[in-house]
Amino acid sequence: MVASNGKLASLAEAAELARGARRVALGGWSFSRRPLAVAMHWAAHGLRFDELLVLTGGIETDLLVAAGVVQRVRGFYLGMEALGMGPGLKGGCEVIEETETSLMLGLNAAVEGASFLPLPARHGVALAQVRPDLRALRCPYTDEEQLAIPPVPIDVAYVHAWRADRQGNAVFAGHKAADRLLALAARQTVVTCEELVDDITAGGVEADLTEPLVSRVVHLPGGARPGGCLPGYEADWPALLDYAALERTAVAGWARARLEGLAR
Amino acid sequence: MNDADTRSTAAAPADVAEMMVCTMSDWLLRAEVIQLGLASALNQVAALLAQARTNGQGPALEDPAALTLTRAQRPAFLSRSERAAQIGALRRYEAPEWIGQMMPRLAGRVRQFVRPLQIDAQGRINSLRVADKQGRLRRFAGLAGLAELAEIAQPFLVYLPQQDQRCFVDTVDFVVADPLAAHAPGVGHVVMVTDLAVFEFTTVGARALSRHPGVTHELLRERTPAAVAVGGVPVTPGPDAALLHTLRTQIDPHRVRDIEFATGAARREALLRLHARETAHALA
Repeated sequence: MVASNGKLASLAEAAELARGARRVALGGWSFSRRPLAVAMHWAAHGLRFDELLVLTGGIETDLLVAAGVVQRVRGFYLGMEALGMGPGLKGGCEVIEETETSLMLGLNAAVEGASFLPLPARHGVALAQVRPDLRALRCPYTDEEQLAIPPVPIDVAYVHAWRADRQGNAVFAGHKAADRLLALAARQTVVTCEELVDDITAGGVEADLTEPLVSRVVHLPGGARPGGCLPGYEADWPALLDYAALERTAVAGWARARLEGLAR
Repeated sequence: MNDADTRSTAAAPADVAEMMVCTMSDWLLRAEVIQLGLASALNQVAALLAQARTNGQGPALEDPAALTLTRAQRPAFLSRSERAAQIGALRRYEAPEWIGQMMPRLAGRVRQFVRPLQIDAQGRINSLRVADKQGRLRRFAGLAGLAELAEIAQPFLVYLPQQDQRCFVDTVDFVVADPLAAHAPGVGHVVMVTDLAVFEFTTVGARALSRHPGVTHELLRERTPAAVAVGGVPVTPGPDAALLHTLRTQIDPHRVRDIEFATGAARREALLRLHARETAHALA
């Protein structure tokens, strides 16, 4: 199948964009719409990059840490929620901590080309203790103490959508997360999707992510499993629990086996 | 439904989980918006119970499982929470919209029960621990909105399914949130519901407001920091039969409320059992 504008790509081609990147973002939230097939591909093929940016870091983060794909993780939550922690996070990782607000500000600063955006210092008392890189300042108008949150530009963002067209317009269906903001802050964005459609607006639906922000489209049914992608499927708790019980050294093999299952 | 379920839907007295969620729901009734929190089983059940107690005319629910705002009355779900969160949703928010634009508008109007790793006699919160590369446990300073919630939630609500000397301490190891300091002097208010009692924290000090049925003064004293007053407190009123019936049959028929009490190998079994029950439940 040939894309009308060349955006359609294979999983391997799209995953390769992250090789050696300074910062890669994965979209989705909790167990919803995580680009897990992409993460498994990196884990199975030994690809490496420096920093993973997530809002809530779940199984996708855990497996990338366990497989040694990433050097460090930036986000405001780590763990598999009620299911505890997987082998990656149990073993430890380097974390750049954010609060919900500081991460939104950093992403927005990248989008807007601002050198920083201010966070009221009272919101960042704990953050300032673990992030000595954050500079303090006083607001020139109110004299309020603030933390200057620097931009966090993204080299490549990966988001998993329910539907997409070949131009890169995508519909999320379930949790919207911050995927549009990630794409805005990214130099390149890859959309993996459950359904590749000709007319994304069929049925009066509007796209959540539009084509000027998207570099590649990968048709990847089941690409968020064992997480969920509504309306197609929900998170597979038994499989997630099986993952959480793995030894760290077994994660790359688990990823390979899952990918083979996806390909069949 | 197994034997245990059959017993729980009859007129059995409230167990610890039921005592906690019914008491927690008391503190949620007057919120405008309740934030559910990710995978927070007791908070979700208590919130849905509060909504049922007000016939849907009380608080709206913000559900992070799909980042929705809803007034729909429904049973609690954990493994299927994203789909459940979309039932009757008034809106699905993008995370930046909720975090950056909505939450700051909710000061004094939003409530959410959070489960800390530790809380101290000053009402300060320490939360999730993550190992670093050297295997040392470190704190997560910004965990999932606590910094923001400390400033806007009034009262700031906390729960502990198992109150002991490891989690209710004299001084927390690391301050993730300081809800009393986040407000003007005399304004901040923290309320905590545990498996033993209800506590409040103000700038004047901390004290027990009530202890649950069957909890002795001696047990409460033993598991509570010395700086917290626990003497002469009344017994927490238990839920009446109608409220228990609503909880057991309408709000939490799958027993989501039990998950936070399960540990070790039993927890995995409890999670799988809950998943099976929820999967068997038709969900729009």
